Amino acid sequence: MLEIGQAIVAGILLGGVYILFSLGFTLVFGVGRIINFAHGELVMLAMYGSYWAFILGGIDPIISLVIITPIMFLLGLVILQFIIKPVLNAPALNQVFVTIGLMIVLQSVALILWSADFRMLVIPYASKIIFLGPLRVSFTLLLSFIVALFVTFLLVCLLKLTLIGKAMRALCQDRLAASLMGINIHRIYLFTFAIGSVCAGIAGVLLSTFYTIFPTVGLHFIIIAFVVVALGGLGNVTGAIVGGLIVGLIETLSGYLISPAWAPVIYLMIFVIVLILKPAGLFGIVGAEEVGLK
Amino acid sequence: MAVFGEETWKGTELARVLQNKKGGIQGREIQYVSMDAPDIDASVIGAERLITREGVKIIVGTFSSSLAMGASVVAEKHRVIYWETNAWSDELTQRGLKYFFRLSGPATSVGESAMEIITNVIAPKLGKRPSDITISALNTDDASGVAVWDGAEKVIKQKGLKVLIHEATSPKTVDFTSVILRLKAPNPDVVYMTSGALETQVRILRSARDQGLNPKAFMCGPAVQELLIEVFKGDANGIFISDLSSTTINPKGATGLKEFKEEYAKMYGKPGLDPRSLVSFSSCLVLWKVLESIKNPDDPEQIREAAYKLDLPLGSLPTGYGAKIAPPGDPMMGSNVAAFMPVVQIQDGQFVTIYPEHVAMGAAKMIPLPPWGKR
Repeated sequence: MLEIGQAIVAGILLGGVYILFSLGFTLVFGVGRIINFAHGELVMLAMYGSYWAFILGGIDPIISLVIITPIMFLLGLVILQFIIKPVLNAPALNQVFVTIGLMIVLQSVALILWSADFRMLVIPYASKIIFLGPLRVSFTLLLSFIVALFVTFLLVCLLKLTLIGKAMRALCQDRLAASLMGINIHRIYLFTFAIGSVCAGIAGVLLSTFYTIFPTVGLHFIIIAFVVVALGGLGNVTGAIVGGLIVGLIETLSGYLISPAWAPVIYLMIFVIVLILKPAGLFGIVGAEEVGLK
Repeated sequence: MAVFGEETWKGTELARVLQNKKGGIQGREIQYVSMDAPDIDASVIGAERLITREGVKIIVGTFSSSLAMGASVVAEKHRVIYWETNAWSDELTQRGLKYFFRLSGPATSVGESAMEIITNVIAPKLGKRPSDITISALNTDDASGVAVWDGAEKVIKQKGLKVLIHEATSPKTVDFTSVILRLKAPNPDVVYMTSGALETQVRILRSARDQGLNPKAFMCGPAVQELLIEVFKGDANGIFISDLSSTTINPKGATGLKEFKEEYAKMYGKPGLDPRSLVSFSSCLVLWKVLESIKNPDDPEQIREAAYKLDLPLGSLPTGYGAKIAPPGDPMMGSNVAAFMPVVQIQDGQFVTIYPEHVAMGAAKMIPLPPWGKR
């Protein structure tokens, strides 16, 4: 029974990792209706940023957030302005090709700069365990989970309580109408993509504290992010939380109760079943690609 | 030259520099063209580029069995010698490739060595017969992880060891808690874990510590040995590792080991502790011997012929290996049958080779293994 409890806690924390990874992805889709295949590579860049800040400058990954998040914000602006903007009004397939192209370019750049070697940060608190009664919790996973919830809270506040958030929501409801109301669409796109990149940056920095770093690391997570956001409802922040927790719990519980080899099969089967029964995902609205973020 | 893995590259580069200082090969300077590949597709494209655009005569590498698998097929197509230094999947030499040679041993022998230690060292120390020893086992599902487990399983069946649970999982698994809980549940005497992605071994062990998995002995497959000490500090003591030969073997059983250690430290400013640099260095030494012994070092047929004639006894190389290539028709065609996989144990923060006897530096200790935090 204790083991089941341990597996549930591990599943929730793993869900936190997946939420963290998926937030920026779902935000960019929800507001901009851009499926950013390069989101994983932004996470990868942040992981390397955190790694090199620690190795070369002795800067703790958590402290490095102060440096990395502004860089990611700027990188997001640059990517949208020079790479995605030219295809914003093109068919969706063109955007897909552009972001896949960007994904490959960023992977190749990382490979050239840092080689294909797996890297790992050795930081003292990565080995720290927190005891919740008889349950053991990894400090870094717990930290990721808390940060995931905090970032979600900030995103919701941004969307619901600020003027720019209102503009973002207006944009995702009806781009033309938003434009007619005087909203500077381009500026909102820029801001959204930059915030999405910041989310990727935060995810990358936290992942670097317990996961291995390599040029194609983003590819592994982007597949899970797709499952998480599609399960929860494309473009839906609340959906990303629920989707992340579901995938994390299924992966860990099925891994413990059946076999780890079966874990991805099981969560993907559940994913397919949910999409058959509810094509827009658990919290999505039919035609989410037209409606966007809620 | 194709390389993958920093240590593999360092050993290979050191071998080149030292040989060039001695006049190269038949008076010709050895030159490398390097290529790095993250996956099989890239290794295939890279090998094609190295051969067709860079005109390389011999491909030397790698570190990863998966990459070698793809790149060596390209080399075979172009009749270019593929001199594998480190990758060890048995499958590599079971494809009947004419131009493929592998100087380290096969992955199965890593698993075999580990189980030999469990049978001959750990079981007696626990006062049990081998058939009474219980094991929980985990391997990652990459080519190397699977092959190492195949070797282990062979000995497990021969010796009648009891495997209570065996799991295979992806090396990219984010959190290993669920699989560690499964390994822990039957309370085994020994936990055996191996992964082709070496850093993954550290993450698995970290999860084992997090979940308080405390068997009487921990036997690991290949690992980034320095990283184990760095991450686990005192808690690394007592852990067994079966891996390629490293500088911790007895120099009396390894010709040239002293020179390797000195030259490595001189060139890179630190001791070369990881096995991969030593093994790639030794593999290159054998290649130089082969190339020196033939009339035309650019002729793949002459290289093949000379490689099959190699007969260096155990202890001839800095790894303690000999060199004898399994001939065509042999199930291990192209593989060095005079290689072996030592087992080391971490004792007081040092790596002590305990197997095989001719390169051993000490005896196994800390059996049964104290729990995490008390080592």
